[in-house]
Amino acid sequence: MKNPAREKFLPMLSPYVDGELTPEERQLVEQHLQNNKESAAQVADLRAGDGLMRNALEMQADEVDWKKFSEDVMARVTPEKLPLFERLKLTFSEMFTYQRGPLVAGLVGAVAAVAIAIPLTISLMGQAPEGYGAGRVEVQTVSVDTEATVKPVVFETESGDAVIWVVDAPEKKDGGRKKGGSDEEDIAPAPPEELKKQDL
Amino acid sequence: MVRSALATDDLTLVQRVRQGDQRAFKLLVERYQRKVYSVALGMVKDKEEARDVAQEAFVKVYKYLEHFKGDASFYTWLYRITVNICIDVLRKKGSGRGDEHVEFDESVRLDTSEANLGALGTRLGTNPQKAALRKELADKITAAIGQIPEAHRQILLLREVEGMSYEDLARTLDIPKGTVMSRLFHARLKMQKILSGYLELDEAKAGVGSEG
Amino acid sequence: MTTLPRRCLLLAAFTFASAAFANGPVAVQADVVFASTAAGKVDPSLTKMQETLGAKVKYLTLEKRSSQKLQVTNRGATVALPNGKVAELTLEALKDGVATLRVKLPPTDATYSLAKDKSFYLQGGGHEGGDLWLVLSQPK
Repeated sequence: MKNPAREKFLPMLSPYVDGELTPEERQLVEQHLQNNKESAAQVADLRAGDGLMRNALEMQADEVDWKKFSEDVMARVTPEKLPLFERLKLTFSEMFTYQRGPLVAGLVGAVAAVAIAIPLTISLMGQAPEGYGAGRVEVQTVSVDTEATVKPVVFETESGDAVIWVVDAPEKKDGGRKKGGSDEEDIAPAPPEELKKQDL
Repeated sequence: MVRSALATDDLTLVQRVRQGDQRAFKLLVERYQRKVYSVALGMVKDKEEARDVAQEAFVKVYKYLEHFKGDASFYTWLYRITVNICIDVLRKKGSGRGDEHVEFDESVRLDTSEANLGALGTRLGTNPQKAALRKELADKITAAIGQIPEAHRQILLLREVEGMSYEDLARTLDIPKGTVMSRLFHARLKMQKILSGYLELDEAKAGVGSEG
Repeated sequence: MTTLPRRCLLLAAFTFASAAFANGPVAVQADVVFASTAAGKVDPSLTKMQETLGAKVKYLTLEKRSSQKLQVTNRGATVALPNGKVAELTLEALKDGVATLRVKLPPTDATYSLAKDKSFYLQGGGHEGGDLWLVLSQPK
């Protein structure tokens, strides 16, 4: 290295490439580079070498499964399980921090579901529970064993209840199943007078 | 260096990790894993070992996060830990810095006469494209990094992989800024010599291309 | 947590579906009541029963001997009476929100349709000098 100017500027070439010189120093180096081909070539070499190295390392990094890498790291640093409340608090806080959009959407969805479900539930509460849709109990069929010495007596009260009495049958009646409406006459041929609907 | 203003900054993420937010730590890992691995690979040369070092670095960071005062950048702290783990690994393997002390002496006068000036720049342009690199050449370049002295390797890797400023390099490696400047230049000259040699050998194969 | 909105939708859909299309077992309150004309106590919850049956028999004692909530399906459910009889309840039909139950309590075999807040009384034979009644109603 015989050129004194080159010798003076040589240590500045690396910081020049790195953008670490002051504006004044930078200007001086650029003037020097215009007049000195060796230094200009060296700057080109520095930049090319940097790029080559950077790209080569990036290529090597491309070969790694980074998803697995981060999961492995997380598996090694995951602390022991926190209490449920703490975990819920953290989960909610993380969701609020990183996934505010989906969280808000989810909450809106939940509120909408509740808004729909509550009136629905209230209206259902006013309605009859499953199977109790009728206004009054209706006996549809009634029978007794053929061998039985009793007979059924059915009556339905004005308030909507139904009663089946089993009374002694002095004479054996046909005990087969009978179908029909609620009319006690159809079901029990001889109801006691006092059990007629109007009496109850 | 300027970092994306959109991304949550490192210190905010560190705060969240301290509050038990695991997801924040994962974001930090994902942000730096490639670069930490590249630095480790350049240092220890072996891919599996580099992967282990990188993982260990993150685990240590997590473990000692309470000791991170926040007066320096998180990433300089992370790389300092990475480099220290690499040094430990190399020492265990018997290739510690002691063997390289003479070569590492920065008081040695710069000699660029054998550097085959302009060879790299002429062949590659100032920004060689990644796509133009062949895999085997990339392997050779990584191996070349491994040939330069450890201290030069550290500074070169941190500069090239992370793009650290001289100030951050000084902080990470705990050396004066002036030393950063001269050490980096020495490291680059050494790399240039080795790379030029590779390119001479590789010229016939046309394994690299220039930009455009 | 991209699954949260999906879960909410599923929940809403489930709420609708369960409310609109459920067709499962029918819940029935099955009480076995001991009734006697001998002087005694009337269970306060059975005063309505006393009134309903009062036109026929003035029961002065009404005691609940058992009380259970059954889920009646077409596979049937049973209620044991203290006199050894067993009542067998089967869901015969469930149409337009009205369930029809078949009740076999020997020697009687009856089918009846359920109604909101109404009761079905079936005499279940004698016991300890009185009568046993099976009272089927809507669970509270």
